[in-house]
Amino acid sequence: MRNAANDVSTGSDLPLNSFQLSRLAQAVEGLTQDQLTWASGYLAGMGAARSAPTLAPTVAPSLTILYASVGGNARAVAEALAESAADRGLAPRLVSVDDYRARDLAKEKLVYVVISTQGEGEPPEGALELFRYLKGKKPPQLGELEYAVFGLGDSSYEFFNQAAKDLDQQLQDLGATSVVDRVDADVDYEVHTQAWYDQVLKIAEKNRPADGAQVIPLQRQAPAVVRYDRNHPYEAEVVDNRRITTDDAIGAVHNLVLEIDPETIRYQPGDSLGVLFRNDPALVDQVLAMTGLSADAAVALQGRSLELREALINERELTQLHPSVVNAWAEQTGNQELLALREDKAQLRNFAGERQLIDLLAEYPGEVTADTLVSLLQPLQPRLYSIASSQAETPDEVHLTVATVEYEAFGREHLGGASGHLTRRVEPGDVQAIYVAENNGFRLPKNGDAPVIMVGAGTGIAPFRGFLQERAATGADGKNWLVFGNRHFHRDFLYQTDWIAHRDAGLLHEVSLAFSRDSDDRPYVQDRLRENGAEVYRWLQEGAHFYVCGGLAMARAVQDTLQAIVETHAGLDAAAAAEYIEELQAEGRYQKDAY
Amino acid sequence: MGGELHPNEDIKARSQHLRGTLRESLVDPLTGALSPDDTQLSKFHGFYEQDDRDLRVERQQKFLEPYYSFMLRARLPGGVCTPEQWLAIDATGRELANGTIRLTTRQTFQFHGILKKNLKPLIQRINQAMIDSISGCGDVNRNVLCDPNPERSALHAEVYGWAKRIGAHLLPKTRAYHEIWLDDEPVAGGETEPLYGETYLPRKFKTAIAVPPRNDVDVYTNDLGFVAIAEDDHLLGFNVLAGGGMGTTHDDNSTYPRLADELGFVQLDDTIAVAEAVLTTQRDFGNRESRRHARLKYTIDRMGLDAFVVEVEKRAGVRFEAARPVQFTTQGDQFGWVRNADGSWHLTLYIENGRVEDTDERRLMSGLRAIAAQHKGEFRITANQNLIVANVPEEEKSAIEDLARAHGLLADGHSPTRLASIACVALPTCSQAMAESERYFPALLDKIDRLAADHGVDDRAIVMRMTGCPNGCARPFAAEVGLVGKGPGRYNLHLGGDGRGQRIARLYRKNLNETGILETLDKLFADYAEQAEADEGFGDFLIRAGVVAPVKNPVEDYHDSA
Repeated sequence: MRNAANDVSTGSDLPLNSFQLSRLAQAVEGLTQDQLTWASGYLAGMGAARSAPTLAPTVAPSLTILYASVGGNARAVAEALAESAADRGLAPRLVSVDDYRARDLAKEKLVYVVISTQGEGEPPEGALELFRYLKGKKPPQLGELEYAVFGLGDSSYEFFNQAAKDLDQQLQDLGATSVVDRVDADVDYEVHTQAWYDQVLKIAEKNRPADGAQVIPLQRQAPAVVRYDRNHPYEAEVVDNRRITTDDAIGAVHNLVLEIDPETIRYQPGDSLGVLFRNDPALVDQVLAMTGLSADAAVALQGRSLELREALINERELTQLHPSVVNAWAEQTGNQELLALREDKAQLRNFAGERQLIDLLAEYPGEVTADTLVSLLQPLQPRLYSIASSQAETPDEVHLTVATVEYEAFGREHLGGASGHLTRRVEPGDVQAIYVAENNGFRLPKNGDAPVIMVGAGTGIAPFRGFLQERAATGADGKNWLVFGNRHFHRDFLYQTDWIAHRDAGLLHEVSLAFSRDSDDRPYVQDRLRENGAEVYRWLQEGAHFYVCGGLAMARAVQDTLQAIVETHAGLDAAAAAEYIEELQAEGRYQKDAY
Repeated sequence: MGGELHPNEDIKARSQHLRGTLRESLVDPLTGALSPDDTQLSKFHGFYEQDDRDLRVERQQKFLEPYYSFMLRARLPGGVCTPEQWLAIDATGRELANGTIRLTTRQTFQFHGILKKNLKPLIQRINQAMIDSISGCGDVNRNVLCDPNPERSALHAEVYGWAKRIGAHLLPKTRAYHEIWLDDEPVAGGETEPLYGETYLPRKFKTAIAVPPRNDVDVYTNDLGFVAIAEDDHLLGFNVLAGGGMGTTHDDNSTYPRLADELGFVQLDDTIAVAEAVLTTQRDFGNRESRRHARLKYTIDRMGLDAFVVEVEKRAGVRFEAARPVQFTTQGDQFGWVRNADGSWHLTLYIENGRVEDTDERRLMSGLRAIAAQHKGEFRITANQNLIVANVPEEEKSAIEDLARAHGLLADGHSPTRLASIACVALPTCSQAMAESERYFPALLDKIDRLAADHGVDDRAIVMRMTGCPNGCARPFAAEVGLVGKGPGRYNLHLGGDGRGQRIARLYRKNLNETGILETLDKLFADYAEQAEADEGFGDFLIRAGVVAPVKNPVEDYHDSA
């Protein structure tokens, strides 16, 4: 079918040019009937508000705010920027990189990019197309473009803000001009946002088109759907919380069922759920005992006065030890060993990665005041869990698959912050604060006939439960292949009866399982893929979408195996196979959710 | 009859001589189970699918399927194996099953808790030791029992030979077992099943040979029975019996336990022909619509005994002579050392409920392994789930006895009633079980022993048998006291067997809990102590005292009230 925008761009007397038309098409893509109706009214109202019936010569907008988000943080920053811009009378175009046509970049004047980085230093899946385009054989000339990049990362990972750095470099290489130095924000990114907004918006105001009249307010009073996010979470009732591994399994994994209002909370298979949590009071009491601080010592946080114990339970990160905290503690204690760590970032990351705050305090005791302790700790961050259900199956529920992080180290028991909260302290009937974190980089194919290969290890199976529920409910006819690995068939075969039911219903066509502790050869999912390499390649050639969810090491091993499979079964050399895989990624047919 | 065939008949007919989709089921990674149809066919290969019923609900709530495993029952004619074979059985049980060996009332051994992935390796292992599991279960003739009677060695050898011969003759001819489990090449040009046909038998078929005066194989509870008629340790022929069977269904009065009828005496040369004729008559006349009415016992009652005999004689080309008079004295085993006619010795060990395992109290498994390592004779599993160390030369006797004593394998110190009693497997693995049996019976017997002692009848051996359901694997309806599981902690109490396996025990009380069982026995023991004649067995006393009326013809009088 020919594209409607192409139809009208040549010799038509329509008032919009092809660029505008395509943008309009992009802007309304995916809207529901109700939303479209609302939008048409919105546009009509906008038109009526203007004095001149004739339209000004069309140009690209004065400011585009582009975001590439994984868990929703980048989007939140971008949205807040757009709001501030509107407050200043600017008319920015706010767009997710998923919906952005890469070659439009050459037509832009001013672009602010908010981009997060995934575990291995990769950009969000949705930004891959843009990255490929910029690095491609015919890259655009961006001499006219001014831009700024706000990166969101986590310095406890090796490739901190790598996607932001790469994008920044790439834009510069293509001739674009950075108007504000890139921000490499850490997990406490919120402390950097306001200053950045002020800087970049000041520049945007200067660049505002001369006729200044074209002020288009954002729909401030529009009855938009209430958006829940980390700062405004939805309060869901926990209706079920049960361990789904046996008592003799190596790890405890729970299935949590949260009740939601389907009118208010919408999610798609592949999305994650942000979970807010409180620290374990027992852990906080240990911290208090170690520091000799009193539970009711008053501390100031964001202008509020709190008791220390309460602040540590509700407001501060205790279980994920951030490198910045190690540095701050090094300065606080003056400990030479800790101070020396700062010289080697990798060593510092490892040091922090292996410990919780409690280990640091025990190993390197020091004097500290309540206020100092609170200020050197990071704010408590919500955690993201891949959603394990589909609203097509359970409209008023969201399911999570949560493994209890639990281990002994440095002579004491450790419990994960959010996983401990969810699996040990939350009970049915409790209220749990959540928000949906969209993940457009992990989506079922729009075409229900496309085959799907799902590779998950451990709790990485979660999104695939939602995938199959969705495909069952929507009657998608494409073949489905589940590749799952865990330790013991009898102990931790997560959601086994669901898979059996799907198979018996004719929905699950292939199943490959690897239980590493059941046999001496310790098989993992990548081994199953390799064994079935010819079949994997055949499915890919038939248009299969390939999904991987699980730990970073596993995702890496699967990627290597996929590379080997393509080399072997397509008869390609390493470079050509890599290109084949990149092509898959660009087409959205190879998607990863690795953590 | 005249209704629809039972679904199992179709499964058998479609199975290509018991192959079904067993190969596919074995490699299905998603489940530890077989496909439903294959679970019916697997029985012919010797194994049942089971699941740990203790875990069923809990696993369901965890999105986990039941904990499936398999019970495999070997074919071991007459219960005889060599020490080398025992060592292989022992190692297989430890490495590929749940670490125990279960001796059964069919004079063979079972492995429990075999995971699907271990089925094929396990079957290959036992076959390497020259033991197979063909027809261990299923609608075919099963393991043939044979009196392990130690005293008359020459006669035993002869009778054992017949047990093997009958068993071999009645084996299915399909090569399915060899192809699926032993990787044999498929037979060119297909195969036929001349004896069984495409749908095999309507139901299981059990065969036993007894050597009077001992009835330790409970020959009357079998579909087909042979009673050895001998003169001076020389076998002349058999009295042939047909139509015994234990299985019933609770609260279904059209089902009943039944002892076999005497068809008459046959010469040795006619033995195989008669065995085949009884089997094929059942094949052609048995009920294939209702499995609970499919055993030979119902076929005979429906045809009438005379018509049945005529049919068998016609098929076998044999005229039965009048049955020779025989007398049985006991259903139980003879424990301890017995000297044979040839001067060698047999030692009968006591294995409570046939469960060979190492516990904190007794290390039975290790003990048998140690004995097998130095024993040169053979082992014989009894139909009472015990084990005989057979053919021990005089000079080995004390070493074997020391090992047996050190590992708690001797009968010493157990009450005569306990030694005469047996229980089936039941929970947690048996899918039929309605109540506990093997796991509970020893504790109940402790209390019954105390009661017997209180009444001074603890020197008497009372044959007590417990099962978890009315299918009757431990032959409770042929016991003096039968306890048949009805529901958790509840049992039907049957009384009035004769202790020789020649009278059916009648239902006396329904649905008793432990207190009810003990109160009832307390009263009856008191009467027994007071009124019994010298050497009068408990079952015989209950009949004479009118506590229960004897069952004479179960099809007519079994469901009469006590």
